[in-house]
Amino acid sequence: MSAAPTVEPAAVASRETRQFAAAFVVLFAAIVVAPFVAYPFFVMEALCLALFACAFNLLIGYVGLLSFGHAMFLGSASYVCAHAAKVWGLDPVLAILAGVACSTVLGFFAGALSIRSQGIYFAMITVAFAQMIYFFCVEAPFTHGEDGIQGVPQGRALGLVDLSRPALLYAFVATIFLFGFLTVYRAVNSPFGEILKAIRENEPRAISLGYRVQRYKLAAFALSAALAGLAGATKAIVVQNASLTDVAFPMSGEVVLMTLLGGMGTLYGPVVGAIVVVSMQNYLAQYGQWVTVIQGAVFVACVLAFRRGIVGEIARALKWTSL
Amino acid sequence: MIFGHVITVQQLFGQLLVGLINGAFYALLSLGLAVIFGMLNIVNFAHGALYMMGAFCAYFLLHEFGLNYWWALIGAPLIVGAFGAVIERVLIARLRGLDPLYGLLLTFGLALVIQGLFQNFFGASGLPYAIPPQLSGARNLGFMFLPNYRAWVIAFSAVVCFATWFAIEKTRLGAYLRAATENPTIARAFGLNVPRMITLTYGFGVGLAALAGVLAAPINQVRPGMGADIIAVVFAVVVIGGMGSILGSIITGFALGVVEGLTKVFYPEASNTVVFVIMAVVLLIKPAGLFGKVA
Amino acid sequence: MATAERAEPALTVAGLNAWYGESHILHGVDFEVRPGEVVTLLGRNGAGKTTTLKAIMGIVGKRTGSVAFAGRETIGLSSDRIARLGMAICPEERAIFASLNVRENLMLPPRVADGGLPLDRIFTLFPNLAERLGSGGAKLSGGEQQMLAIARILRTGARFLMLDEPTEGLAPVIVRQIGATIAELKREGFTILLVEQNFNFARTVSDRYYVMEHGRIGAGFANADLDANNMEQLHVRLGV
Repeated sequence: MSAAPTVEPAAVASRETRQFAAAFVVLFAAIVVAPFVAYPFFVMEALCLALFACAFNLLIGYVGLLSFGHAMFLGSASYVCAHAAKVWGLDPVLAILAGVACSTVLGFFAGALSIRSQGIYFAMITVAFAQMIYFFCVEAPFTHGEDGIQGVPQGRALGLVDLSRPALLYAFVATIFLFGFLTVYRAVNSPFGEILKAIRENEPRAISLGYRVQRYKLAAFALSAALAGLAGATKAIVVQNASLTDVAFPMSGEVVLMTLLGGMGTLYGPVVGAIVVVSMQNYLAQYGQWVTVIQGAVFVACVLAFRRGIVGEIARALKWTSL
Repeated sequence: MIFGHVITVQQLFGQLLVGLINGAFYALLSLGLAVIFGMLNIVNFAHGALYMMGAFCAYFLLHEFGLNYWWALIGAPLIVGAFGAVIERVLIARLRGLDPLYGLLLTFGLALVIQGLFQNFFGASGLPYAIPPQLSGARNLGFMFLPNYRAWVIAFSAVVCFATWFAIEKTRLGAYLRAATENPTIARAFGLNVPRMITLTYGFGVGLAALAGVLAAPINQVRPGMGADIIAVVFAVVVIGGMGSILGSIITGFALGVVEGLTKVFYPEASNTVVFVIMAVVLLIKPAGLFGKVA
Repeated sequence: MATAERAEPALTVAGLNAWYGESHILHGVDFEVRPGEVVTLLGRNGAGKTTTLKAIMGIVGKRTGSVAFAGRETIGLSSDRIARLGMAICPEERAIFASLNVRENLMLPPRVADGGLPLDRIFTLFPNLAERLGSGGAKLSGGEQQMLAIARILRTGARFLMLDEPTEGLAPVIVRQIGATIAELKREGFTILLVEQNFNFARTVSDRYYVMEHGRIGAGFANADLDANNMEQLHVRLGV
């Protein structure tokens, strides 16, 4: 292996920032243009799921932890938000915050128990926890089981913005998505993020350097849970209901697929992956269970031959490091 | 009266029996997972789907080839096990040397493909499979009725589990397996064909899952979703028992089945989640699992 | 001693390069071992001696060059096929399987040819093992583990043995026992490639030596060549 030419860290950082900014401009433009070329509700739902995928990717891409039960955060937050908006009559912003609070607390508990285990063991534990939450949601009275919580009011955000108007709702959702996306960016490109990367590369070394590794992992897990909850709660407002689908296992599997296909460990990968998967599901909805088969086949193909994902391959082709 | 429910002795033993049966399936399935994990270091997410394939295989052997249950007990594990061996050779082997998470993702994808295909062709509802005539009927034990087929399932599963444990821990072949699991490089340097052992081990683990499927066919219906329904609990069983332990998965499987059954009697609302709650508790006090050697 | 005749070499290594991952460890190793000889690879830590043995056995990451054993090219073969040609390794870390007991460890390597030592011979050479057959592999002392590691490759019928630091960390009385064993094996016609830091031990059993430095063979010489002058040079080179 030839030695790479040494580059000034500051130069690297500013090149990476420029790459990120360029990609961000593209993303922003896409978000602005999207409702004019596609059905706005579809785009909003895609944005919520894209945020969900970004939250998931924070764990797998940057901490190396594969959570196979992330739907528990999406779904539980969506139920709490729906209930808060409909039954308690809260302002949608407060309802969403209630949902986020729920998922964050759940994240702390589930994380505290799972974090001590590594790799595949951790993944299996998350499957089991998510199933537990699923069963809880099936039986808890406030979720109304198979019917779900219907007719969630969209209300007025902060008492001012009338979310029943699609344009305003879209702006609201887009803002939340960008906030979440930039939060992930900030978390990853910060001292906190550097430590997470160090933990992922060589955990024993990080421990020997004095870092309280478990705390960092737990913090990342809770942050991921919070953002996933943000996505779920916002989705409840957009589609005006909360159902078992959001907390069931296939949803957990789908977010893994989105991230794998889009590119694990890249910032934009989960977004691209979410859009592709959601579009694919819409396009193939008429074929019933073939969607499952195709998703499975895409999984297998990605793991065997396309591990970097779409954005990962693009980044490699462009030789960019900060996508 | 306990917890506000009136419980008869019949009910208690009836549920205990159901619990033992479920426990038998948990034990067989988690044993297969543990064997595969030991050698390949992957979590076989497809295990539930292969269990389902075993049940369907029994159904086809009967309805297409007129081969009864007893043929299926041998045939289905062999057929599905061979299928598993092919999967290992063609797909899973390519991931050797990579992070084991990729193995998990690959088998997850496989599970989706298998389940989706079966669901497309057979719909979501179940196909019936009759109890073999030699095992029909029941005995009256006084405190309960014991259906013969159910007694058979429990006894046969226990025998298979014990035989597997014995083969691994006490025989020469098992020594090869344990050595190849512990240090595949050196084992190979002694002349053991480790890649072939890996393929055969995966096939064997899959065969165990298929065997469980055949046993389950007359009890539960033969449905494409039957694997997905059970896989999360089996994962919890494996976590509770401890990944590295063959004996641990067997004992924990049976025990948790019984616990689940008892919970159904005394506190039915919690019966779906009791295994997961136990898992949470075990993780708190012994993260490596009750019998675990590996965290 | 079998080295007098110009016998066909049992092992010829030419231009052997080897990598562990990205690290290029061996930079073109050349040497040969003739049938019935005991040849020792000497050298400092990190010179590449262990890597050489592993590369010959096929258990190193990537290797190129030529390793001809009994006339057959083995550079492209997998390690289990190399083992079945009649080569066996006793690794530096001994690699006793903890999940097997002593008997299982001893009986594990399959027979690759006739001519392996029968069990009673092995127990004569290593009486301690006979007493400890039921113990778990990890429960043995360092010396017992070393004896087990050697014993198990004697059963298989492999006639070309590679021993990596067999005396490392062992008490003098056990070192003597191992020396006696190697001498006995040599009398029986085994061919042995030895890696040793302990030159004084190697002198008692070895016919020829190669000195390795930085992944290459630096020098080769036989017992007959040793005298006061080059002993001094040797000690300097070996850093002893």
